[in-house]
Amino acid sequence: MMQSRNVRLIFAREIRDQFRDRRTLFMMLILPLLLYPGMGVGMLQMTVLFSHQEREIVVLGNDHLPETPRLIDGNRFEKRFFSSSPDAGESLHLVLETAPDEEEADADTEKKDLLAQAHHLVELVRAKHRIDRWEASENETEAPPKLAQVEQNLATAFASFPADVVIYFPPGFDEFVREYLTQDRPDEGQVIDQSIRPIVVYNGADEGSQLAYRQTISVLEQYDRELTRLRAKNLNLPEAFIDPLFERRLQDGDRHHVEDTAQEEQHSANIWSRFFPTLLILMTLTGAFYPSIDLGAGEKERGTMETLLISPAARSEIVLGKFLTILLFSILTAIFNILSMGITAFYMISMAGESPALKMMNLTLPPFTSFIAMGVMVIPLAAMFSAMSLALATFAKSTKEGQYYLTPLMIVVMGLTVFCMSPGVELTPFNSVIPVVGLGLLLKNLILSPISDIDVFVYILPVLLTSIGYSLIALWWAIEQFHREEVLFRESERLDLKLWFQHLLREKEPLPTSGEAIIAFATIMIMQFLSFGLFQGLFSDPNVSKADAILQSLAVQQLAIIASPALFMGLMLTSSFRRTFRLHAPRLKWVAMGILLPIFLLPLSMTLQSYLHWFFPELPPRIKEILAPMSDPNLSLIKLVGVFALLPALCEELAFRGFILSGFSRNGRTGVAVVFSALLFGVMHMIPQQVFNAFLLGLVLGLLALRSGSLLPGVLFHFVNNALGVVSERIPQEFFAAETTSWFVKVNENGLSFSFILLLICSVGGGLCIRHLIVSGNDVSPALTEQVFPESVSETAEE
Amino acid sequence: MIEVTGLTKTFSDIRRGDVKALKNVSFSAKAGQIFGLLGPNGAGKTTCLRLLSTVLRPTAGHAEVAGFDVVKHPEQVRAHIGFMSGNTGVYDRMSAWEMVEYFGRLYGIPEKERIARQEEIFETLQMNDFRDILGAKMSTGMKQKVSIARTLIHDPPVLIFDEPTSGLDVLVARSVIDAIDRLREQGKCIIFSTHIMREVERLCDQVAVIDKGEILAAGTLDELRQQFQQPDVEELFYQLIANNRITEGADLHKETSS
Repeated sequence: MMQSRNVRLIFAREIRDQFRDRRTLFMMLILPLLLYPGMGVGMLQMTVLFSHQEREIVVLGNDHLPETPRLIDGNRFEKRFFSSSPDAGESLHLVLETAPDEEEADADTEKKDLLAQAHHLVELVRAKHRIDRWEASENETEAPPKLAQVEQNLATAFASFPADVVIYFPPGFDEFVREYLTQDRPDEGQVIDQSIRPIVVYNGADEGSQLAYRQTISVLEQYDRELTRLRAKNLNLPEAFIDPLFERRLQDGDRHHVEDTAQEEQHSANIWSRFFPTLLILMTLTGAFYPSIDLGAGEKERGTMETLLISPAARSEIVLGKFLTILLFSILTAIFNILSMGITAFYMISMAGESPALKMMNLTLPPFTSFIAMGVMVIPLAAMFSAMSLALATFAKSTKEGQYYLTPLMIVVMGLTVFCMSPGVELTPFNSVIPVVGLGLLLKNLILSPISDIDVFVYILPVLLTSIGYSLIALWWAIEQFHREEVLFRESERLDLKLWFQHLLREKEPLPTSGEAIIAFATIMIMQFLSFGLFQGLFSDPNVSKADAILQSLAVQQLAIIASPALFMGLMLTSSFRRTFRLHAPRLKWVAMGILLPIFLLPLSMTLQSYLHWFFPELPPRIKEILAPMSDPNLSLIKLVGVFALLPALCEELAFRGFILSGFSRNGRTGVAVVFSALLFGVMHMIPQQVFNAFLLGLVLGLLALRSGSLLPGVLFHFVNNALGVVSERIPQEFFAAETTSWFVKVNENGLSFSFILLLICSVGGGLCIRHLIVSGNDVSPALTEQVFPESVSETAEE
Repeated sequence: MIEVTGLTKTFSDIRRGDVKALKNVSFSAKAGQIFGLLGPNGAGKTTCLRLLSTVLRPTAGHAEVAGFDVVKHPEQVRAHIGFMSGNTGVYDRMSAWEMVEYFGRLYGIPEKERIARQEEIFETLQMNDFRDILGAKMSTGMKQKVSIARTLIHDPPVLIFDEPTSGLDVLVARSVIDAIDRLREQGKCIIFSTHIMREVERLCDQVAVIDKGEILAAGTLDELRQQFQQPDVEELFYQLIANNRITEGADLHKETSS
């Protein structure tokens, strides 16, 4: 049916159109060409500025420092105490209390002021120490000094202090050091007077202060080590006495025998592996963003939508032509951005020989393979974004509205990007099928591939296939938008909330709309999210046992969060409560199927789950902890069956096979409705394993509800399925030991395992039932159908 | 050429709930004739013509255009009609020539034939002086001519014009009317909606007066004059609609002012 000629024509026209639009060209070509060199220049200036930023450290009581070993040389710390690089000391400027080469009179008032403030700070710290000691001695006779007050004063005093760090060496410090070095052996039981130790004051919330502190403290630690070393030497102890594990040289601070195998390129690859995927994802999205608004909403805004629709091209051809255009621009935007950035980076790295600031970054060019990887990955990435943004942009009435709709997409994609670039997130089977995350992680690992310990190539095919799948779904959705009259010919009237509510409540229709179904689901999800905090309180209540707390919260969740919103919306928004929730008597065969089918399916689904165990991420320990009391054999079975089987069977069926499925299937597209409701049913279960399982169950349940025209078979199915799961945990061991049962089912450390015979019987039985479900017609009387789906009836009558 | 039976279209509207824009409408139009669809604003003219052009799908009923069913063979229908309305705009970033060329190609006309035909249309509609001007820079009249050229490029047997002269000045409106008149002489089946009586008197062989989604009267102008004993078409039109609204119990003035 689809004619490639039409697609080609539309594609060619849209391309020409976009090239004539200066905005598109600017976004795609000019911006990246200017952006990265501009950013490069900016970065260069920043690094130059940053490295010249001096940190000021006030040293009080520097005349109490011993002559040897010397800590301070002029206005700097001794270079040898800087463990990482001696250059680092250049940025620390010391203000000494008693400058040796300076006349007392020459000291300007500014310095005097600074020293006075530093002294005040040290005084406050000492006051605080006194309070600490006082509290430790539990002196109850004196009035308690106010610790909070002192801390407050300290904070205010430091806030107005112009330098970054204060070090205070108390009087007698040199004496203390000399004694320490010359003592033959430690006096047993001798307590060092705490007041002889130096005091360091800084503010960890202030970046400059924090930075200066880190360098200062590392210098002092090195100084400390030097003292120990000197003392050991005086006692004729071997050097290994101090560093039994690693030999450490003071000069470079390197731990010998510790080998970092990373080469410079690998360090760079690590940086590039985060940088490139992020850039690629964001740029393909940005590249799809503007053309899609122009091609979707813009067409409506400029009044050419109808012109296009009356052309001989089919709507799928139109969408495909537009999609390919957006795809091309998305890819080009990404490529131009990467190229421009690459060239800028190349230039900057080649310049690095002259600039010490850049040398510090230690960047080399990315490996050539990373460009190939990006070239391959950009296509599925761009395809997914192009289709999604086209669908959203088609839904919009105007370009302005288009931007509103696309912004959430941007935010979600950014969130996913941040997630997959954060350290510790690895390419696992589960992560690889999440949209954007899978591609991002794959790309990251491909760039890292020479040093990555994951076998990346195994993942290429699954990631690409799922991405293509997501793209196809998004494309289907876009075509769907082009088939919807209310989307194509929406009148640009202002949204009047009052009017809308009146419309909802007054012009009730027998069944909910798909929009209302989605709102019902969103309500359930939001309430579920909000209830976490509530349940948290319940769990921490010591008066309620863990198991009871869980049972209670699950019951509340089912009744209040899942059933209530659906029932309430059903009452308020539909005129036929009965039809919305399928409160009809089903035929007997559906009732039988509701009871039998889960018995067939449970062993199959449990086996499938155990096979797919490797795929899903492990449950976080917190959830395991919560679930643990459930396997307590003393828990009442009736309670368990009630909470885990009866309530979900009623509440979840009312919500998902009642309100939500009715909403989706209203316009007669039952297949899509079943899949959608099953998908939402899965998503509600949150835990990945359960999401998958619930989705499969949702498919069967949806079909059952639709065919029987009644909620009852689904409720039975759901109950039997869940109850079997609960009861199977309680079956006594002896049952499995019996010869006849061991033919079918065995129990091992992983739970139940089913024999091939049982699985075969179940497959045949379940298969037959599902086949029957699929081929039979809906049990809804024609009179009802006519009211509900006038469109579909008139169509079928014609054929 | 156009056969419409029991055509019905329902929209759901936030203000008014379910709106029947077209209720069980039937009529037919023949080749070599101009069929006029008369009605006030919001009568359902545009909905009816959109259904015929397959842009919308009917809720119920049947429509056949040039021998093809609008629901079953929409592509075929679109290939055999030329459709023009106030909503079929011209692309901003395409010149007059490119626009017509694009549609000619979409209709699958062989290149040589298309170029010859395009030259001919540009000649007769006097469009040669703006053939390379982009849509964004065209005047309303120029755009309208491009739209007409677009509808004619594939020489369709059926032409549908939805208020083609609305918003045009007298000169351009006249030339559009002349163009439509010439098309009838070529044996096209033309359906044409308007609320301007002079155009109806000048062009239409058959008319149907439509209001609130229903056909109130249909036939040749002479037949209608005789049937309602009213020689003035404008008066006839007004009375038909006023009577219809009174019988429906609606306030005419309130409706027209809203």
